Amino acid sequence: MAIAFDAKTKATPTGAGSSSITFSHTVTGTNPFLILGGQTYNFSTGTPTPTATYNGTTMTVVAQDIKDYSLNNYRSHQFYLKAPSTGANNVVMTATTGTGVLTGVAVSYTGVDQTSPFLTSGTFVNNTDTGASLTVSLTTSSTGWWFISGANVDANWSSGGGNTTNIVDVTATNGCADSNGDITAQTGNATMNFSGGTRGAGGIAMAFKAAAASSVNSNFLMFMNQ
Amino acid sequence: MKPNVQPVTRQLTQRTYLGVGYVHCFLNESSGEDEFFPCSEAEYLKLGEVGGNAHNPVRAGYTWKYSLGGTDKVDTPNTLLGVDEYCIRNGKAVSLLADANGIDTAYLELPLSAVDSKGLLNETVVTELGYGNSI
Repeated sequence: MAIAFDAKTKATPTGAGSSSITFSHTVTGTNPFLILGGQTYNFSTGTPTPTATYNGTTMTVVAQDIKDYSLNNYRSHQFYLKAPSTGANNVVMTATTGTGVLTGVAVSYTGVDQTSPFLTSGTFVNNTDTGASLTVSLTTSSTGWWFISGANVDANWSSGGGNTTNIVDVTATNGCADSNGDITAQTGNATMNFSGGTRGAGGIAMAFKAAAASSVNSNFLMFMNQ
Repeated sequence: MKPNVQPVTRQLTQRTYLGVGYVHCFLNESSGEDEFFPCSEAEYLKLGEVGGNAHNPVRAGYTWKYSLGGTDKVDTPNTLLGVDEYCIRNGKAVSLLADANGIDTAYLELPLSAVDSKGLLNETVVTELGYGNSI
């Protein structure tokens, strides 16, 4: 079964400080999978280490508090949820400590393995505070899609290079992209580009795999056709 | 590109900190602007429960976008700090500052030494804290 993009929803308050944000995202289709690309900035505590839920179910942390190295304390957080509830439900991201600005982009896919969808993940922190791309190297053991989300104070995200080609969403500072198709098992780069400033970006990438084709159903159909 | 030379000080308006707040953000369908409306902690927490989507807020002429919990509740109509306003919370000057172009805003927790008794913000202190790119 092939993975396909389902929907995206973003919530991007710019000025109001808080410790929690809630917004609605609608998941449709069969074998769904949900990813939350979260971002926090200007938290006095430095590392807000948020948690996330969807329809009251706790999402699994991919990575937390990945800093973009800019002076503005932008940090990336990424979560996923296998077999999320379908329909319109609320995403909640809540900081463990401190107050600042939280933003989030929820992205859902269909055709994803419902038992063990997660393949691998990686992170990137730009310690030079310069550059033009956010690149995370991933080594996958089977075919799947890649998803990358990151924080960059200067924004201006553009399509990624390497094996990541599709910008899913770009907000002021929080961007995310996916491979827009299957990537075979390999060691490669998930990449988003950015421009317009002299400060770097930090981010998180993960890979997830497709649901297995249903051989039982196809055998049953062959039997019925005889 | 932001100018290299910025004013050393700017006037801020102090608001009174009233505690932890909760707000809904709606899009005003007529004006196209975002507007905030206060809600209770119970109303906010209900949104995150199983089936919480059924409790999402509704207002005629508006579309709900998101809600925020754990805001700094102050004495403004929507309970949030306005641009170039600050309140004192736990020994910090919690501030919402316009950026150099007046387009975006930055929410910052600053030491009290960054704001004098007349509400003048010392932007040098802000820059030294590493937040110079925010304003």
